[in-house]
Amino acid sequence: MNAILKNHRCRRLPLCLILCLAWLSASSSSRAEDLVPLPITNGPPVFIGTPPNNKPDPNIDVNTNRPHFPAPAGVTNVALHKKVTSSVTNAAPEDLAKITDGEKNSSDEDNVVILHRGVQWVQIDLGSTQEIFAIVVWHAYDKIKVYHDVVVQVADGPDFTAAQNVRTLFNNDVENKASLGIGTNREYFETNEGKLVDAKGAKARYVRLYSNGSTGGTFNEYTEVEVYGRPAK
Amino acid sequence: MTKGFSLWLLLAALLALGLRTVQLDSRPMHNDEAVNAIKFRNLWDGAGYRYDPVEFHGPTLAYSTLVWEKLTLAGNFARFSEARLRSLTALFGVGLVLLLFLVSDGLGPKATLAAALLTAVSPVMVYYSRDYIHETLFVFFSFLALASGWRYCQTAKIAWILLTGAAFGLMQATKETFIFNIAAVMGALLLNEWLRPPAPATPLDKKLFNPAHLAAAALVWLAVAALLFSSFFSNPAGLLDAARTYLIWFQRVKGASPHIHEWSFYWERLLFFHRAGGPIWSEALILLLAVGAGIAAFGRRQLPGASRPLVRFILLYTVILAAIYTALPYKTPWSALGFWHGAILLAGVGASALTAGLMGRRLKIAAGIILATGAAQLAVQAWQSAINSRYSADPRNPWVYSQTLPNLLELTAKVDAVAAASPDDRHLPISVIAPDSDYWPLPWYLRRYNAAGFFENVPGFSKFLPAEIQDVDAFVKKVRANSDPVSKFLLESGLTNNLDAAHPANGGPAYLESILVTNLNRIITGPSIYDSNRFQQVHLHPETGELLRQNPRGQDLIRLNRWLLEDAYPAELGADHLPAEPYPPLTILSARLEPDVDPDKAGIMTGLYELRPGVWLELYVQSNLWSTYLQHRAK
Repeated sequence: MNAILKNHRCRRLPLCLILCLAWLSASSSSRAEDLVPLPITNGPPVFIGTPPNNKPDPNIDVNTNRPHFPAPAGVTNVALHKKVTSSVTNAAPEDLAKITDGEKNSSDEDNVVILHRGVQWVQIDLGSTQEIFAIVVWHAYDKIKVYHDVVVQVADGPDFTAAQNVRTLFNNDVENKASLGIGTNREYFETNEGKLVDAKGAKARYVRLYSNGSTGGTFNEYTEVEVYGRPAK
Repeated sequence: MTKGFSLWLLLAALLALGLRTVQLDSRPMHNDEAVNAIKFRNLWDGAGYRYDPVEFHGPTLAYSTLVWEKLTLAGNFARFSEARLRSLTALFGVGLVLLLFLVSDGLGPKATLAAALLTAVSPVMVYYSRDYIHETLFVFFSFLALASGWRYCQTAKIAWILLTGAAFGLMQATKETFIFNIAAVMGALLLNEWLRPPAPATPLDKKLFNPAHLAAAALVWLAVAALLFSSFFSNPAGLLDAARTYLIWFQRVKGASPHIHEWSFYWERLLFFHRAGGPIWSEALILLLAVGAGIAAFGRRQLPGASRPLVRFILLYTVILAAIYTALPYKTPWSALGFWHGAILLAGVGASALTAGLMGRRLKIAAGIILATGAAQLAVQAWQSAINSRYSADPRNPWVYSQTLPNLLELTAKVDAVAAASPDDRHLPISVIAPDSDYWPLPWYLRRYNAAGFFENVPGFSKFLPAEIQDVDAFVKKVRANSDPVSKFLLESGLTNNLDAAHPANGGPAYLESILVTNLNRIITGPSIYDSNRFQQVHLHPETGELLRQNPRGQDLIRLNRWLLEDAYPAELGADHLPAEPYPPLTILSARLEPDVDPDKAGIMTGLYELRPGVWLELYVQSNLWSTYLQHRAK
């Protein structure tokens, strides 16, 4: 048994090396002669029996106890009760207002705003230019899920045009589905802590957040968005 | 039987066929379905079949599939679809309806048709007929044994009891749980005989169960089972394994399994199941009608067109089987099929007795309408649970158990899209990495990729595994001697902490090994352990020296620390100095392993996908391939 386990790494190594070398060599454009793929076949995967009906992933901690985020004294949630608009033109203003009403309990369906499928955004008008240190977004965290193509931007004007000094603070749209550039941030699990985006003191009046459905469904959902900042000097 | 009866039975079979074959690919492959499919691939590709007594049940599924695929002229396994495989079990599900013909003179024509309708629409029967697992085959063979046994009792013709023997052999070669059915059959026969009022033997009775018939049936049973378990005599060890499996399953039934559930597990799902946000599911109508049949079977009232001994036998058989499954701690929802099928047969009798017992035409019509409405409601539930993609893989469905979530199909679609953008296409090297091989059904979905590999650890994984330490005792002894700077460092770092707890009473050497490995890994996953004075007396392997000069971090630093220790204790820890395996162009990784991933080497993490509730996979693509894919997509 020990011998079998000891060989585990050894067995895996040549296969991986061969696969990758084969790939690299196949990708190479300089070939001295015509090459054909080696007739290598993989061993079978390891069969397993019926897995447990529900095995929560130990790597997913819905109470992650995020470390304190340092910010200057006096910084508050400047988005509270501020006007929210959306790319979903028929979304009722009273529904969108829930995004900045201070209620962030996703288990209460009344707190969750549901928007159409596809790439959609919500936008918060902070009323005046603010020095922003952090933006925290809670989509629906009623169960563990991952929202796709999340992009957080700030701008000086409401149209987010190039002339309005648009800055992207977070982007995990790695396929550029929102056409805002290829994202470099990772997808993340939705939790009750919300996702904190470091705004690094950016000065802006408007905050816009994009998403494109989630692993839990095609709709876009928001429970709350908080913007921590102070009036810009 | 009249033409009308045959027509109605055929219509019920057509209804069953429709519910079992529409949109057969509407839910992702379950772990068990994919395992069965990939095991079948060996048989299809000419590598044969070998019975495994530990897991995965018997050979009939694989051999039935082989026959079915040959008959339907299937081609390359890579082109097989979910629907193609599931169509086999769906047909066995329809067969359950058609087999009713054999017992129609025992249940009565109306009861037979009612049972046919309820078999066709029962949500649990529909759901698992659409799963490529053993259960529907098992219930089919069980009913074949019962029905052919009944025919033998009616005719005393040897052919029928030979068929019964063959059916028992097929049952045994399908699922190990067949011993429960045997127990239920024996119990029901004995009780039925005991309860039967004394009556003079008929000429037919005298012909029944003569020793020659019984011996021939037993021989057929053994021959069928032996043929299948030995893989048609190509694997004689399968015969021994067919017996050995019960020792293994007995341990599982006793509690060493994640599928231990309380007694009400099946009944909640069958009678009243509701989860927040989902509909209410219930097949209580079937149980109510079955109870009615039970009362009628032991009452004075006539059972219209039915044989009281047969109905009593089915009742006793069903009650015993249900009691066994309810009492067993090991439960999986598909196991309900066996006793629930018995309940459905009884429900047919109950429906017939109910309508016959009512006085007056209007009452009978009203009862008929109520029963038809109930059956229609069951059909709607069957559609919702088995076909409607909203619930067919949703945990709010009572029959969804360890089911793959549709989100996985988004992952496989992404893999296909990225591979299609690569010049390697189906030859693209892909690594699927998950602890405990918890990556199923991906081997099914990646079956067209001939360079897909399945692993337990990330490339470059360097932590110690218990079995990798050459000599645990010598290592501990040498460190405790504290005669060199490295041993002094290891002692100060707590290498021997808790080792004294590894008393033989606490697990002995294996426990000692696991504590030692935990402590070792804690040390090597910390900062660099290299110090020139500490390792002055150690002869460093050239590979270690090279890695040291690179000033590594992440997984490479862990590997350096390990190699340093291996150089210091070559005889005790062993020293292979294997280089880190490179990450392939595309990696599918269990989120549990994320702390082990080297983000610089794995590539871009392009998404998180939920395999089953709470079980997540990450997709990494090397940046050059991802750029190629994005350019390809932009075109």
